[in-house]
Amino acid sequence: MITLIAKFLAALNANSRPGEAASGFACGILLALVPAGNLLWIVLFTVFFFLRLHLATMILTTVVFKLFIGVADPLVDALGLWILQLPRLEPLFIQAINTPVLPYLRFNNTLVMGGFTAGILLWVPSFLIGRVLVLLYRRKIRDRIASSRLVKFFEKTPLLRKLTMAVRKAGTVYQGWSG
Amino acid sequence: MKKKRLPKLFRKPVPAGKLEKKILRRIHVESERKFLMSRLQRDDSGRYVLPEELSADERKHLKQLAKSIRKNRGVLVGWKAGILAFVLIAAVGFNFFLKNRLVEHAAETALQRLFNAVVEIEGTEFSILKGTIGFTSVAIADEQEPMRNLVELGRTNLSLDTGRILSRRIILNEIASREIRFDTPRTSSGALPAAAKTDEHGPEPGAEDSGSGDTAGELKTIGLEIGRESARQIIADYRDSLQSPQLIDSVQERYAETSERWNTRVESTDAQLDTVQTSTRQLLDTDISSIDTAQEVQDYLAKLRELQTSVQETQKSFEATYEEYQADTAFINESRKGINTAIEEDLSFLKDSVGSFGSDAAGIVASAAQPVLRERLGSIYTYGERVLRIYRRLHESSSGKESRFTDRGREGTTVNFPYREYPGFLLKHFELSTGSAASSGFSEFIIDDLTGDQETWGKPTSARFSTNPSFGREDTSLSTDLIIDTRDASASLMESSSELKAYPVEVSEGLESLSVDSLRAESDSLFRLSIQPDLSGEGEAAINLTDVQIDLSETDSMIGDAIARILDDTEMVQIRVSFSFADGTIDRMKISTDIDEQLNDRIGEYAREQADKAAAEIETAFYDYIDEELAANDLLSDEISQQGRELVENIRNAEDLETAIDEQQAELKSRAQEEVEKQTGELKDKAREGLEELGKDLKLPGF
Repeated sequence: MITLIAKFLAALNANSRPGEAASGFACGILLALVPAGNLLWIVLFTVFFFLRLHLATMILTTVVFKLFIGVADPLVDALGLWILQLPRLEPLFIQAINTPVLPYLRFNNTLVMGGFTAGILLWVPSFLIGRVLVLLYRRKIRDRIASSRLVKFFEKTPLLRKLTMAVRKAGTVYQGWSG
Repeated sequence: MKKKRLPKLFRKPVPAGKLEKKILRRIHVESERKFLMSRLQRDDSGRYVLPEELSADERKHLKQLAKSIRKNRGVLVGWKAGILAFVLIAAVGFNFFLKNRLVEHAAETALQRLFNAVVEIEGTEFSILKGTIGFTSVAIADEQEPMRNLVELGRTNLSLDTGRILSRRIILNEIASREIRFDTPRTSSGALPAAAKTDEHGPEPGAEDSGSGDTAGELKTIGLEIGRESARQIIADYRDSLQSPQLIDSVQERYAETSERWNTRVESTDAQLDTVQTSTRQLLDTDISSIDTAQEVQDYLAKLRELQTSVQETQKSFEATYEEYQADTAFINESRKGINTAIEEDLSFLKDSVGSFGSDAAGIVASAAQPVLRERLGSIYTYGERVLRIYRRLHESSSGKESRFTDRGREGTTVNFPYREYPGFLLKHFELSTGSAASSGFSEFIIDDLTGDQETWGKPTSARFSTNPSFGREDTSLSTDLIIDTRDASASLMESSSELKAYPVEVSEGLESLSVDSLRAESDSLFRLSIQPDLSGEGEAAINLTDVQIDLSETDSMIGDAIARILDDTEMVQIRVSFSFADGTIDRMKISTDIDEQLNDRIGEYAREQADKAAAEIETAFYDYIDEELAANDLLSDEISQQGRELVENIRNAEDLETAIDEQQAELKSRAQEEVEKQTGELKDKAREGLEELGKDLKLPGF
């Protein structure tokens, strides 16, 4: 988990595209919204794995949002039910459910369908928000944090020193905090 | 100290446009961008270039920067895309170049190990995604005769629905092997170069004569020859159906019982009569003339009256007993009448039985065929039951299991859409064929929709077997269709129909009643069998016999002769069979043939003559038989009558005793009267004499 956080921090501070972390953030939200344990989730994760996005950010976002996603479940459930009951889409769903493999996507589950739809709809806003946040961080906060007393204090703490080392290792160009 | 080289990205001068597009756009940290721009210099042509006099730290920094710039290119991660590409290229390469060869080699090797001989497979087509494997030809050499093939297969396919495997459903679209040929010649030796011969084939165990048992069973012959001996035999056979023997037996039993009972009663009355007679005789033997006194008369009279009362009571007792006897023995007459009626009815029955010989003959061939057909059709049921047993085993083993997929944590609601369920196991099409439809010899065995869960699949399992020629005869063909339907709404569990053409039939058992030793013919048969879920069912068979040849028994027989003549004039014999079965045995069978009617006409006249003769013989034999029974009854009847007569005699004796007593009383009264009169006269005389003497002695005044 520490490595994961370190990689996330490295992604924020290293010379990586802000879009990488932002897309990792957006995909993490999508994976958090879709219940795990079905083929859809595995397919999404596999596709995201091969794309240029920040995996650590994605996983961390997924883990963090999973903790709170239950709050949104009623909405997600209602959205999924609404979609699954759309008469226009019914032939498509019937064909899909009778096609080999596709039933393993569990698309006929309200949370899966709702979560997937919500994740897709929220992907672009999440991406944009994430990108803005990364840029803001890099422009406004990063240097201030690097020179703050708090960071220097943290660097003396063994656990946080380990974290700093991990960040160094993960980040290729990072010259902040200790450098 | 050797200077580190500049990163490749920065070795050559970079135009301003390329710097902006390829480098600066990929630097997302402002400090890094500033660092790079601070180190870059412009050359004469306006291109950006790094100076040679950079420190080691600066070179190191630039190297890391160049690395990060490279990393920021593209949508896919390089090494991940490489893995993906490798997998795709390997899959495509394997699919196009290696797959079929590997499968062919693997199959050949496995079969060669199995058969210890060369196996040649050609035209292999294997597809993982489609789930198909097929060969255009497979030749397996004979280990014992290397220049011949054990078996050759034509187009052979196996197709599996791979998509359903993920749903834990084994759906076999097709298993087919066509144009199978056995023992075909080879152009090259089929012996393996260094085949390891194993002694796995031990000597075959001796074939058991499983079919040689008394499978025909006890085939009853039908007694048709009517003669004196057979008349007795018929009576013996029909004894259970006759009334009179039973009635005679029961009457005889009652006679014996009655006789025994009345014998005791009669003896009792005899003893009673003897007692009364003895006491009467003693009393009547008294000489009345010796009775002188009135007292004696009175005493004797009292005894007589007492005896008379006793005799009267005895008489009444005897009369009551006799009435009881009459009531008890009244059945004798009734029984006799009943026996006579029964005898008449039995005779009529026996005559009718013989008389119906002609009408019985209407089904004579059918009757003779019944045991043979019962045995042979029974085997159809056995096979059917065996098929169902195997099918049920399949049904039990293929109960579909629910998917173990479950939502963990967040469950949501599953919206159910119409879903085509598949059974756990399904073989859509299975086909084996030898030869081809165009060639002279062709056999095929096809199974469609084989599954243990027909309810889910929605179709019954069907099978077809056809062969031509078959049974080693060029012109014989057999085709069988079978449908097994275990669905709840199905009308029957199993339906089968078979057609057998030009099949030689030879029957040498069970035709004795027709005076036929053996029968040979060509047959065209159509069988239909229907089995219900409780294993009961019904079947039909239509058998047409042509070119019928029979061997008659040596003994002359009108029936045999008639059959021979009919068959000479008839081109085809039609046999129709309908039967039903339950609990594994045939419980009803109806057989009709078209020659039975003809046979009936031919032998009708003969039958009637025989019937008349037989009726006479039977009547004689029956009376011989019944007279013995009746003689015993008559004896008992006479005995009972004698007992009645004895009772009547006893009553008469009692009456005689009473008469004797009456007479004795009358005599006694007469004697008493006489004595009274005598004594009265004597008294009168004495009185007169006394008066006279008194008058003499007595002198009255005035007189």
